[in-house]
Amino acid sequence: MNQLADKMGTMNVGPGYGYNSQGGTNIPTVALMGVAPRVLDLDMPPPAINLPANSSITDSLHANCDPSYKRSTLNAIPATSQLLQKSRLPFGLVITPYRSVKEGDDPVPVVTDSIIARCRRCRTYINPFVRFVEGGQRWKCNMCYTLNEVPSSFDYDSLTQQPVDRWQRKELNHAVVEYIAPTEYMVRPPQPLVHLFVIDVSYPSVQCGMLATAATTILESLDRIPDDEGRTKVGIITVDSSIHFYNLNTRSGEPQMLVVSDLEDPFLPQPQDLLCNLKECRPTLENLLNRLNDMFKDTQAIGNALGPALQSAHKLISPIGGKILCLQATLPNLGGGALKVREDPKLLGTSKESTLLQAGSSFYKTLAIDCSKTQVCVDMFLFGSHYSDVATLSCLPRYTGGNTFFYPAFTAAKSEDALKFAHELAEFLSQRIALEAVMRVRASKGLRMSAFFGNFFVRSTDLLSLPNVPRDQSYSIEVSFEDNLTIPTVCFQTALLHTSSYGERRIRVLTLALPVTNSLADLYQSADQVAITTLLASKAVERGMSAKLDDARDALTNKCVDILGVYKTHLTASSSGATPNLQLSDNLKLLPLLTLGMLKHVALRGGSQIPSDLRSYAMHLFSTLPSQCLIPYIHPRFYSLHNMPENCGTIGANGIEMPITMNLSSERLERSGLFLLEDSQNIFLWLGRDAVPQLCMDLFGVPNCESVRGGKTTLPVLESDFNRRVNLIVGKTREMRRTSYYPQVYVIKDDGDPALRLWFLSHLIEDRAEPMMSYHQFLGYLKDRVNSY
Amino acid sequence: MVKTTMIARVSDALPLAASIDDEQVEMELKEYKSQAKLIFRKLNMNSEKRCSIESGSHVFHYIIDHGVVYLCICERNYPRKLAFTYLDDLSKEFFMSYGNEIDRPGLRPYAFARFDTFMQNTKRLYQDTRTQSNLTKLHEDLQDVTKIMTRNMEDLLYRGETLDNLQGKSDLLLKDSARYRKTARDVNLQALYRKYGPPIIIGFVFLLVIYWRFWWY
Repeated sequence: MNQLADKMGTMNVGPGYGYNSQGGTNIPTVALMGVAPRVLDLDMPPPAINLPANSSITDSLHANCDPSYKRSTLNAIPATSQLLQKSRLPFGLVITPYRSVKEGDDPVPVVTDSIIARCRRCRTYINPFVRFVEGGQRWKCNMCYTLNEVPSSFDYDSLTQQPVDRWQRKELNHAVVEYIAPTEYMVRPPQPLVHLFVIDVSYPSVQCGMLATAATTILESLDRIPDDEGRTKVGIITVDSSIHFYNLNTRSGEPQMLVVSDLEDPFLPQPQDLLCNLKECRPTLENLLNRLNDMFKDTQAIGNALGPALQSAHKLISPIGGKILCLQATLPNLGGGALKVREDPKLLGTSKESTLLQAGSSFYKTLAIDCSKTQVCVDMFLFGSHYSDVATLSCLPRYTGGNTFFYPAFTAAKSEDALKFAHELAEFLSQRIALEAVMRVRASKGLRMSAFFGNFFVRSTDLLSLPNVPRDQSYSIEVSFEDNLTIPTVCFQTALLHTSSYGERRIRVLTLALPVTNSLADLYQSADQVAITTLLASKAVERGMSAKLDDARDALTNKCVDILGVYKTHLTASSSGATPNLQLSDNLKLLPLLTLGMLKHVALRGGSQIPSDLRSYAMHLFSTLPSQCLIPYIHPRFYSLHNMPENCGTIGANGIEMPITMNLSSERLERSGLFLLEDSQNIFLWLGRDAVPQLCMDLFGVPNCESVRGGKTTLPVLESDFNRRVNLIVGKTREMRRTSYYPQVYVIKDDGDPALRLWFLSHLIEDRAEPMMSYHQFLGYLKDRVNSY
Repeated sequence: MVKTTMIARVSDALPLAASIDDEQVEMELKEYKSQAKLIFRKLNMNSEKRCSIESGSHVFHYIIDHGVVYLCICERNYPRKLAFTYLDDLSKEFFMSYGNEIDRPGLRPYAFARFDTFMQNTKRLYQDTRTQSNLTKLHEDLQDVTKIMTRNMEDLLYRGETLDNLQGKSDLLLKDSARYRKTARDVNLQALYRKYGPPIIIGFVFLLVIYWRFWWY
């Protein structure tokens, strides 16, 4: 019993929910009202997965999937669909298959000998949860229980002519493995990396400095673009009222521009040389990038023909597949796919607002489907001083596995804007992405995948086609029942067949095994609030776009009420009648807080103040951010800097020490204090109105707080100890997450610009903000609804 | 013109490199590419080193060099000399760049996919008509077209004929037939003996007896 507990305990990172020395899950019930929520518990690992003894055939610590790759909303599965219905808990998986590997992370083990053992009936890959029978000659699949032959190379290596120990094989010891795929898994030779830039060169683009910044950043990142085999191809197309192609393979080394003005039927001016090998045409490409800004600096063109340009770009790279990076600073207004300014402030806050969040033109969705067929992915970088129709343009990345980046009110004159864009573009280009990928999730008999959320294209019921797989993008899948489960454990296996950025065809397999239970108490004690929030965020966004935002908000609130109601009725002593307090198990206690965070978030908030571009972009982030970044986005981290302990901001044993996170309530704000709030997209520094002049001197280098400038700033680097520590903390905030977003620093003064002040205060979700309730009011509202359950 | 090129290892038909084709070519040649894979599987160390296989409206030309087969699919009217010169160029460059890595154990499929840039550039050279006529003149003496065996794809598929080395076979056949002739002559002689031997011996003994009777008395 103790051995079991030890094994189960070591499966978590630290002491997690449900770990006690008896090995049972004994999570206490906590009362929610009257106490401030323990926000430190947001960083806890999910509840322990208590599999029956000897479920995995080796004793490896990595036999079950790491939560940062794949996690389930419930770490114990209900046996019947009635039990799931009764519990009102959402059941789904949150998968980040191509998670980045930072320092300190273990790399994914690779099976190099291409011996891929798969079940002959259900095509599951062999994993640590199968059983060997008949003395090890055959293996029994843990999904469909068919007996399969063990390949002879499991015990004997034919190349070195030596016996091998099959228990050392990586696929039997690790839940996350990668296979090198043999020829049967390829329809064509592995494609090289292709980057085609479609850059807007109309007047607004040059005015705001986007063109100059983009050209310089691309020039400086050319070395960082992965090019191990020398096959990477690069091309540039610039767009204003006509389409300009560039011949990069000229003998003289001077790039040659070819202009196509026919927007009705765009064609490629020459069959070769518009897309060239990076190594071979590097000097010409650098020449072009250096001259790009000068070529267009006097342009007065305000037309932009993005639609025809994208069609030509697609025609150019469809033989090979690859990535189109679209840098756009105006609304496309010529040719197919022209968009009108449809933002109407009268519609905001009404039920018609969701029409502004849906695509305005079907051109982009049709183009996305064509692109997905030829393994072309489109990424959008949108810079808008005016309306940019993010909702329509982000359709292209959504169905082709790409990414959208939005920089509202971008001006390169502000060095912070330029730096943010340059940093994000450089990181994006240097990412080692996966190409021409398909993904499928298999589950044990009785379960099936019913809904998919994320950036991909769903082909044929459960096959997800991703022309490009960026690092750290998360996909949510809802699971439903077909039959009741009679088996003690179920298994979810995700297989991602892809080509790596260095031209190797590989299969990444993630296996997650979970126990089955008949008890409602077990279900509640094994629920993972982080995964539940991620899944509910994706569902709410989907509902908000297809129906109304009110519906999405109501669905979230109702789900919270349901969960609390079921817990009260079935799992607490007072099963009916009014209770003085709301009760929930310890591992779910932050769910009402996270729900309130989502309701108050820019993505779903009511009211008529939020422009649809910002809302659309926030919704896009809701559906693609991995859990590690989504939770801070919904519930920002709040630190007090002016009175932080001496060791915060210094380099300690585990890297830079951070101060303790506080509750998001304005009660914590002090008039003489300095506070930091970060939500993985922005960093806010709040300066109280009575801040001591010494603080302003130490941090900003100015004599008193009147001279501190509010708004977007770069923190100066000064000699004082405090400044050094704050800079280290800001630096750590930028680096500690897995994605490549670069948060900007805003200085908010208590007595400064009221718009900025309001923006900062809107992140303090425990507060009351008209017309939304404060956290305690929300709990009261939930209690009333639960009492009448 | 040369539509597509495929390079594979002869011993196990492992693909090593292939040209990247556009969608139109892919659709046209889908069936031909699967036939090409069939050809790879039928090849072994004793196969004919240079061969053209006709199939429908296209022709497969291949050469085997240092354990690697280089195959290209062309239209029927493309001159064979040029196709084989193109394949020779490829084989020289490929062997020079990757020759010592071909037999590495555990080689992954399309391990030398980066060879496609060279293939693309060479293919373009061979498409230019002016270069074509130059090359034709240059290589007229070097290539003896009659030495290249021509087969038909249908034969391969339906009658199961092999692409074996005819020269070797015919030498063997010659030796075998000479030996057969000798053996046949021997056997014939033996049969003659067996047929006429006993009567001749009896006749001889009879003559001996008569001779002895008449001459001694």
